[in-house]
Amino acid sequence: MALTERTVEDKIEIVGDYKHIQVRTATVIERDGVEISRSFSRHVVAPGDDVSGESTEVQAIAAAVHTAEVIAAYQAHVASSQLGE
Amino acid sequence: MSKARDLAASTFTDAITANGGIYLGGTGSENLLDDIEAGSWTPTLNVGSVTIDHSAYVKVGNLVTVTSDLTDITNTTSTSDVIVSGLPFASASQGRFVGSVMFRYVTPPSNAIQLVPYMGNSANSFSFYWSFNNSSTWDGMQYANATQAWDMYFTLTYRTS
Repeated sequence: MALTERTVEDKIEIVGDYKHIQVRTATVIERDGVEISRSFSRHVVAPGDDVSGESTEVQAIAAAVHTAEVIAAYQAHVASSQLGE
Repeated sequence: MSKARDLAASTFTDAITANGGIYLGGTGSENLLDDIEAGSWTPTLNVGSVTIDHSAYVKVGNLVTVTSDLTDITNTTSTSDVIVSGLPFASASQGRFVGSVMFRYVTPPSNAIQLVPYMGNSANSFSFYWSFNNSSTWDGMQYANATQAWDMYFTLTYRTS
């Protein structure tokens, strides 16, 4: 009987006006090649985020959708979203 | 052809798979529950280091609830607002979202009556704001509000796309 664990980005979504990239990472436990457990962790890549630690697939998506215009628009949105102090 | 089935008075002993979702209380789009997911996430702070425990999320429909314990937050001098990122989903394009937080080793500003996590729309991070009994503004919580290595436990519910 062999138990193995692997992780896979099993869902990558581009959502919203500013093209946030939502990444779901599944940790899959298998016994003799048969999946017996799957758990999830998630994170979001926003326009302008450092993607050097992301998978090549996410990096490619970010390069395609996080254009200079999108990044500028998102930064302006973030600045305008702060509550008045 | 409709694939809807009336399950009245049915009893199931095993899990039900409904990839298209389930209508509850009606058959309109507002009655369709099409997604439930639970998992973990990794909060990050914009300044300093922190110990993270119990960081979990639950998504029911388009409503996401995140929880986490942030302890031993080291920075107590920065005048930057405390910002938490790493959320599992971006917030929806409309709305403001407010949660609850418990903290210690933090000195509230004068006349502050409440501290809450606050997330704007189309965001993947949030910050903490003080409310006051004598001011029309909200102030962002700063690391310098802390008196020593400090802790906070929070819950935030927000809508996603």
